[in-house]
Amino acid sequence: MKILVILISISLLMALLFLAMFVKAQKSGQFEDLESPSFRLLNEKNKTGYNGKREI
Amino acid sequence: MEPTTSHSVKTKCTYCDAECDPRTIVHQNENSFCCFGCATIYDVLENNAHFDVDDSEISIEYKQYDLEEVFNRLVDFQNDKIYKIVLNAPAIHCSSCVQLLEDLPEINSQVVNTRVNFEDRSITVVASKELPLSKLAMLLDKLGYPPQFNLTRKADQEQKDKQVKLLRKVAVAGFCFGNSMMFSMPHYLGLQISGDPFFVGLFRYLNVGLSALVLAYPARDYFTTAYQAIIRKKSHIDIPIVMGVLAIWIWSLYEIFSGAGFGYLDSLAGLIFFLLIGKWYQNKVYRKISFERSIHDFLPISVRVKAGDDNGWVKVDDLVPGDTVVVKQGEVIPVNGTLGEGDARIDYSFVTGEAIPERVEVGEPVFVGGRQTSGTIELTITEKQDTTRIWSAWKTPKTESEDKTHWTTKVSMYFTPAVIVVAVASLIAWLFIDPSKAVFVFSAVLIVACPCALALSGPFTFGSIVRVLSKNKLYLKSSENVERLGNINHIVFDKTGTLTNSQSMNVAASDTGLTLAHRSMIKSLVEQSNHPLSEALSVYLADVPQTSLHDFEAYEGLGLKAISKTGSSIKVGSAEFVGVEPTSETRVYVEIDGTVLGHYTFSTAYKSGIQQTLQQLGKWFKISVISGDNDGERNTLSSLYTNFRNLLFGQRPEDKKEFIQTCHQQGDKTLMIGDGLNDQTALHRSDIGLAVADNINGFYPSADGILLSESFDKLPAMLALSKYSERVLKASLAFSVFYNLIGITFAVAGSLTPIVAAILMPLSSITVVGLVTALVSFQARKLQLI
Repeated sequence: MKILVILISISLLMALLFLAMFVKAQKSGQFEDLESPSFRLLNEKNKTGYNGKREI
Repeated sequence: MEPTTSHSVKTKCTYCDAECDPRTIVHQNENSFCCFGCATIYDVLENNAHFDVDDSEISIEYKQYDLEEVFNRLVDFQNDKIYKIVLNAPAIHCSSCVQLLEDLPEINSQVVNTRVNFEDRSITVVASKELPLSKLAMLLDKLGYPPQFNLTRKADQEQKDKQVKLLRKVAVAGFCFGNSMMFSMPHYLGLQISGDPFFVGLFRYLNVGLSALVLAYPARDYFTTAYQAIIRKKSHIDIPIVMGVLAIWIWSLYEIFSGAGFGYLDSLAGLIFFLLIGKWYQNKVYRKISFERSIHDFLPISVRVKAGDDNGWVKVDDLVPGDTVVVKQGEVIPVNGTLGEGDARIDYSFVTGEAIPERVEVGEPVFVGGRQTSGTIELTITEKQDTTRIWSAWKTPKTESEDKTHWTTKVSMYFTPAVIVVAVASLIAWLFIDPSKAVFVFSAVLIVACPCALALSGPFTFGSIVRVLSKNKLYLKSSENVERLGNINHIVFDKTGTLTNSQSMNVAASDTGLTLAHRSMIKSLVEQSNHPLSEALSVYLADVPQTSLHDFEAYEGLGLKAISKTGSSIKVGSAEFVGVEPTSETRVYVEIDGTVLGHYTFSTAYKSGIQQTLQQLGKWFKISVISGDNDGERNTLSSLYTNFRNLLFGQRPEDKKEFIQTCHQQGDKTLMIGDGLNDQTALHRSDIGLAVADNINGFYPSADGILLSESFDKLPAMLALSKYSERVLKASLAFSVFYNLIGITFAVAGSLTPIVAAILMPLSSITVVGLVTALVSFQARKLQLI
């Protein structure tokens, strides 16, 4: 049964990781504009990263 | 790229193949484009077109943004070399727009970087300081994306940041709720593991940790609001919430650390999670409209002053009597003055609602707020410009915050004492029945009697109604306006521009003496002029073929004259022009070879379906019309709707204001429907004021909401839906009370186990939210709004 301790810590850590990933994504502005990245996709001249920052 | 021609009824864009919106369509050669972006990209690709802006082209509207104090307020960031600014550009509407704007650095090398936010219709531009802001704005304008500057943008940004933080809190609360629930499961389900003292301890302490996190971060705002409300001795729905939360937490900690039980910490996390979702939903803006536009967006703060041969830019405040101000075609008159030179035809529609431009003779006064419609004029300043005084008439006085307590707040006012009474009563009762359980019952009552469902019903009711209204093009400033809209019983129209159709005029012909040949002469003649009456007449004579005319002459403010190919002379114009007795109606006379053969009478055209809309509204509301115009329209209006409570004409703004006040004294709740600016005091005085407009980007300082004129016929249904909000709230209140009664019964009976709490509390929140959303969408469907 003690194996559960490891499983529980893994599950808790994973949940924390997801939470941290959400916060990071939100901070980088990924949720601010859900539409324009799809327009940028096919524009070859416009090399932008996932968060819209230009890779200069 | 091959140009394609479409033969379908709906025109398709040559470049992006999207269906063209007739309002934004751009025709170029044989091609049609859905927007200027597509047209420009196509042009650049096909013809290597080049785009540049000449300094002399920069419009006065934009010039003022170069002034240092304004510039500093607008930019997000600046150093010696570059600046960064966010501009709103409502014209952005397709992928080509994004592509074109993000390729701006290729069009103008002084632009360092651009980035479009499609959802906000905004552009973030980083540009070199060598490129003045006015030139950047003009460049965007020329590309077809006239930018809007917003001096209050930083405040909007704060609101947005708040919402971002709120969502983060929802995420954290959700994380705690989910995990806490998982650790509580073995206990609820009576699994074998729940007998193991090690795991029981582990789960309990993990739950304590998670709950501490919930209280420290996501729930913090509830504590601050409740604390502030208590200090100010005001009732607030957060007080009973905080009371419940604290009761749960303290009791649970007591149970856990004394080893007496498991506590209700999972319910606590769930509670906060649902409450935060409600809060987030309420603040969610469905379509961002900037209501708080500055007066400077409309009235320039710097003007072009003539000094010798040179034109310099001067701030309006620095003008001295004798200065000459140059106003070009299409620009707004920035100052009061007298006309010095030029052909002034001023469109005062923004100030007075009068659509036909007024002709001003040299030496006559010209007033701020009008728009010059033909050529460049020069104004002479006669007195020191007191901008604050001029603008004060335009500015909105701050809303006197009537301390309107929402009835849900009132309920929460009674809620708290009621809960305490029940809790104390059961405490006393249990002291006699079983003293060991008395404290448990006391805290159980506090735990279960949480106004959570009540706190959620408001946000979800108003939130979903606002969503339905926005879909139908009624944009409200805030969700509280839904309730105010639902409470009105008297609709007051300002006739100008609200019941009328600004795009067209009715033409009544008295032209029996005119042959087809005559009419084609008239048609050809009026085609030569862009006067509004000529244009209306040209539309009226749309089916008439044109003929060739020569010796065309135009007499300003009077009419037009020409000679036909058969040699007969034709004159079309005012009564004065053809020499007949003028009437009070707006008429255009036709004189052929010296004889007046007929005339056309122009009258305001009402919105289509206005009669039906008024009759629908009349079933529920008193309707009044107070108009600033003369009573020429009285008969037409009376024939459209017979039951007007008041039908007043020639009303000055003060009269309108007084009228609204009289209505209020009689106990009426008024909805004022105006066109934004000229009736702003009345709009502001009324319980709720809506501006009817053709586009949402105008300047409507006092309106609580904007109704696009195309949706005017949906107004009765939308008002009915707002009225329905009260019933929805009452239904959800009933549900909330019902759940609380069940919960309190459990609690008073001393049988509120954690599992009962864990089921009952989320269930009440979810059913209330579900009920509210379902009721609203059902009603909206019934009213054919979705």
